[in-house]
Amino acid sequence: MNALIELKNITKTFDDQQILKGINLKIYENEFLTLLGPSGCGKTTTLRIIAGFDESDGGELLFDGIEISKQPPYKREVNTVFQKYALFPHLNVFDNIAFGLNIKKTEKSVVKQEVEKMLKLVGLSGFEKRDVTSLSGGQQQRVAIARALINKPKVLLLDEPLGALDAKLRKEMQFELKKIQKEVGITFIYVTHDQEEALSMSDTVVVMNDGYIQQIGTPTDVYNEPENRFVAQFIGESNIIEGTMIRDCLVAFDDFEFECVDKGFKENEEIEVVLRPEDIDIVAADKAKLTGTVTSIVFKGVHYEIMVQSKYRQYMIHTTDYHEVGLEVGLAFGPEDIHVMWKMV
Amino acid sequence: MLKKLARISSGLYVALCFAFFYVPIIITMIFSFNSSRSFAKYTGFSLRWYQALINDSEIMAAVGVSVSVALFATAISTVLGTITAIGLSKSRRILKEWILNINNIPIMNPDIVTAIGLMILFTSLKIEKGYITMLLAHICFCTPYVITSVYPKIRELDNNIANAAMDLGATPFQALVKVIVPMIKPGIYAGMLLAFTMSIDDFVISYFVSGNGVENISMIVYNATKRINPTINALSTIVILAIVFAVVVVKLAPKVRSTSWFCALNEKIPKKTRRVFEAVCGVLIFVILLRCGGDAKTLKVYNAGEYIDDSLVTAFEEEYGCKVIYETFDSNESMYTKVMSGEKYDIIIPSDYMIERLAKEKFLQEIDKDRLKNLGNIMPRLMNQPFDPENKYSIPYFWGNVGILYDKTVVKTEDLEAGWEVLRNPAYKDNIYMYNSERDSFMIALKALGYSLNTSDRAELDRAYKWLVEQKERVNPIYMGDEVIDSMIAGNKAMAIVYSGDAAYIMSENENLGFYTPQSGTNLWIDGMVITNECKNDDLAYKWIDFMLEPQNASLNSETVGYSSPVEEAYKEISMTVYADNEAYVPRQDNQNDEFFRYQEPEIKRYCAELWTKVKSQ
Ligand SMILES: Nc1ncnc2c1ncn2[C@@H]1O[C@H](COP(=O)(O)OP(=O)(O)OP(=O)(O)O)[C@@H](O)[C@H]1O
Ligand SMILES: [Mg+2]
Repeated sequence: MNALIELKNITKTFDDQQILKGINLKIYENEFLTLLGPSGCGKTTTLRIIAGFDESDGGELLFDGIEISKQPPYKREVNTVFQKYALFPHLNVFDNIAFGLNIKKTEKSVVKQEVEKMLKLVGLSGFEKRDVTSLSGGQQQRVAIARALINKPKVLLLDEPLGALDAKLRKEMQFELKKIQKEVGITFIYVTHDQEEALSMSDTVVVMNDGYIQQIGTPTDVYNEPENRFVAQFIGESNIIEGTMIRDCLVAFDDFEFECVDKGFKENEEIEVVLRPEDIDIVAADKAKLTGTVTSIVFKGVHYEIMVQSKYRQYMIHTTDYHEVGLEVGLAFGPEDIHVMWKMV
Repeated sequence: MLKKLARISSGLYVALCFAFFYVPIIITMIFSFNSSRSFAKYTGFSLRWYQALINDSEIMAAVGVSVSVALFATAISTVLGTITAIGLSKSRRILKEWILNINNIPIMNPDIVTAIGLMILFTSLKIEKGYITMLLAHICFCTPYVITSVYPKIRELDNNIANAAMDLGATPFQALVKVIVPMIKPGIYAGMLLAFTMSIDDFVISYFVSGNGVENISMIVYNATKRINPTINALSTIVILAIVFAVVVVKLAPKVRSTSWFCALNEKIPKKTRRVFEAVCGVLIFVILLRCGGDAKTLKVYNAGEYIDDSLVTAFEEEYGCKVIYETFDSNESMYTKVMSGEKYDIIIPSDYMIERLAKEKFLQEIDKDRLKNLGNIMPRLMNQPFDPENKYSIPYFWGNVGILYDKTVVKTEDLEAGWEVLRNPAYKDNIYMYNSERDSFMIALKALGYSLNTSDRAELDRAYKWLVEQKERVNPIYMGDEVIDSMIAGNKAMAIVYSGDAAYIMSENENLGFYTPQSGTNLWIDGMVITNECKNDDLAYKWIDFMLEPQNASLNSETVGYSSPVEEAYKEISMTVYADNEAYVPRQDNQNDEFFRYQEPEIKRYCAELWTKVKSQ
C-alpha cells in the first residue's frame, strides 16, 4: 500500500536550535495516527510542516508521491483544527463553517446544504446564527472541526484539539472524534501529549521525544513492546531493570535468571527489562525467586498500587488484593510478562 | 438626605464639565449669527457671515484643501499604518520594540520639530512646496497614530488566525481582507478617526511644508489674527454641525444596518457606490494634477494676513493674464524664518526694520525706479527713510504710527496732555491695555523719557525698563495681542496702545473712541513692497508694484484694510470720505520726535528681551 503522506528525514531549526532531527514517517489512507510525546518535543512543528505553515529545513515531504514542501497552505489538501480553535469571531457559526466554501465561490444553495450537513455531523444543528464567541469550549471545538471537514480534505490535522476541555467532555469528544473519522473516512493526524488518549483512539501511535521518533506502532505494540526505556516510561507505568541477556530466552537480573520469550540479542549483552506493574503477582515469600518487603499501599480506585522494596530496587505492583505494609512477599511473573529492550545509549 | 446631596452635587459636577466643554462652542455658534462684526456684543440675528463665507473664495479654497488633504491623508495613512502594524506583529521582538519606540517619537515630538524637519527635507530634495508636500507631511504624521491604535488589536489576535484562513483555502491577501482586517476594524476606525482629526486641524506642520499659495483653514485663521473675521465663526459652526452629524451617523449605523431594509439596500448599492467613489477619486486626482501643473506666468506674493483687498489680486491676474500665488504670514519674524528656509517668493511685503535686515543680508533686488511709472504718486514725506535711504529696495505699501486709543467718555482731555505718562496715571488703574510686544513697549517708555527708540545705550534702556516696571506697579495694565481690536470695539477699557490703521478701523465701529499721539514722539512705520533675489519674473513684479500704486487700487485697498495709503491721491480721498473725522487714519507727518524702527543689533535685541521678560514677570 502506498503512503498518502510521507516524511523523509525532515529537519527543522529555530534560532540555532534543532527542533526536528530527522523525522521519517508514512501515513496511510483512513489511518488515525497520533503524534505522542512530551511538551516541546516537536509535535506541533511536525504538524505545521505538513499543513504548510512552516517549511522544513531539510528532507522531503511527499503527498500522494509528490513533493509539496514549497506549496502554500491554501493549495494543500489538508485542513487543520487548531488547539485554541482559531475561529473567526466576526463571523457567526454558519459563516465560520462556510468560510472555505465561500472562498472557493461555491454556489449559495450548495453552501447552505453542506453547512447543514456538517452541523448535523458535529451535533450543532440549529446553531447557524449563533455568535461563535457565545459558544462553550466543546461547541467551539465542534465548529472548528466542521469548518475544517467541510472542505473535504484528504487529511485532517488536529493539534491537541481537546486540550482545553475538562476531563469528562474530553472523554465524550474522544469518542465522537473517532466516530466522525469513521463516518467521513479520511486520515486523521492527531497530536496529543496524553498517552491514554493516544492509546484509546489511534490506529497508529508515533512516540516522539526531543526531535526524534522513538517508536511507531499500534497502541498495543507501543504499550506491550516499548522499544526503549523512554517509550516504556512515557507510556504507562513500568519497572525498568538493567540486566544481561544470557542467551535467547534467558535473561538475568537482580541475582537471578529468568526465562523469557525474547530472542535476537547477543550473548551476555547488557539490556533493560520492562515489567509492567499489573503483570507482577504478589505471592508468598517462599513461592518466588524475587522477594521484598511491602513499603506502601495506595488505593487507586480499581486496584492498589503497592511498592515492594527488594534487595536492589523498589518494584511497583498493581493488584486488586490487599497486602499489609511490612509484610515479606514474593514477586512472581511468567516468561511472557518479561519484555527485553535495547539499552539506551 | 446625604444621598440626595451626593446626587445633586454629582449632577452639578457633570453639568459644570459639560458647560466647560460646550459653552465656548455654543458662543461661537451664536456669534456666527451676529449682525455686527463684534465678538463681544450681540447686535441681532443675521446670516451675513454665512453669505460672506460662501463668497470668500480664499476660505472656500482653504476648506477644499483641508478636507481633501484630510481625506487623502487619512485613507493613505490608514492603509500604510495598518499594513505596518500587521507586518510589525510578525517581526522579531527586538525589531518590534525598536520600531514601536521610534514610532512614538513623532507622536510625542513637538509639532514644530516635525514641521521644520519636513520642511528641510523637502527643501533639500528640491521638492516644490505645495499641495503634494502638505499631503505627504500629513500622511507622515498621521501614520504613527494609525499604527499605535491598530497594533494592540493585532496583538490580541490568536496568532493562528491567518493560518486558519489560509488553511481553509484563502490566499494571504484574502486572509488579510476577509479575516484580519474585519477583526481589527475597531482599531482601524480609531486610527482613522485620529488621523482625520489630526490632519484637519493641523496648523504648525502645514504652515511650514506648504507653499505656492496652498493654504488650509488653520493657516487662514491663524494668519488672520489682526481682524478676527466672524466668517470663521460661520465656518466653525458648519464644521461643528458636520461633526455632530458624523457622530450621530456612527452611533446609529450599527442599529440601522441590522434593520432589514438597510440590508436589502446595501445589497443593491455596492456597484453604484463604488462607481461614485471612483468618480470622486478621479475628480480629486484631477484637481491635484491641476494644482501641480505649473503656469508659466506666475507671481508669488507673500504678505501679512488680512492685509489686502482680495479683489485686487483677481483684478491684477485678469489685467496681465497671469496667475498670482498669494500667501500670508502672521508676523515679520515667521516670514523671515520661512524665507530663510528656502521658500521662494517674488514679492514680499515686510515692515521697515525687516526690510533693512533683508537688504543687509543681500536678499533683495535693487529696484530700478525707471520701470515704475506710478512712483510719483507716493507722498514724498514717506520716501527716503533711514531704514532704506533712497528707497533702493522698497516701495511703501501702507504706513502709520502708534498711539493711544482712548474712550472719550472716560479719559479726561487734560490727563492726555501728560503724553505717554497718561499710561501711568493711577486714575486709570486696571483700565489700560498695553501691546504685548517688547519693541513697542520699550518704544513707549523710551519716548516718554525723551530718548530715541533705536537707542543702544544700555543706561537708557535700563531707565525705560524702570519706567515700565513702575507703570506696572501703578496701573497694572493688561498686555494684549491683536485681541485688543475686539476688546476696544466692545469698549472694555479706557485706553489701549494701538496701531493707527487698527485704530481707524476700531473707531469706525465704536464712536466713543479717540486717537491720540503724544508730542514726545512715537514710532512711525512703513510696510513696503520688496522684490527678492529669487524673483523669476521681474517684469510682473514691477507691474504688481505699479498696480498697487494706482490711485483707485490704493484707495480700494486702504478702505478695506483700514491702514493709511502712501499714495497721495488715495490717502486724501479716503481721509475725506470713508474715514473722515477719523484722526487715526491721518497719522501726523510733521513731528520731529517721530522715528522709524531700525534693524536692532542681536545683542541689544537680546538685552531688551531679557528686560521685557523681567517686566512681565514682576
Ligand atoms: N516559531 C518558533 N520560533 C522559535 N522556536 C519555536 C517556534 N516554534 C516552536 N519553537 C520551539 O520548538 C520546540 C518544539 O515546539 P513544538 O510546538 O513543536 O512542541 P510541541 O511538541 O507541540 O509541544 P507542546 O506539547 O507543548 O505543544 C519548542 O522548544 C519551541 O519553543
Ligand atoms: Mg504543540
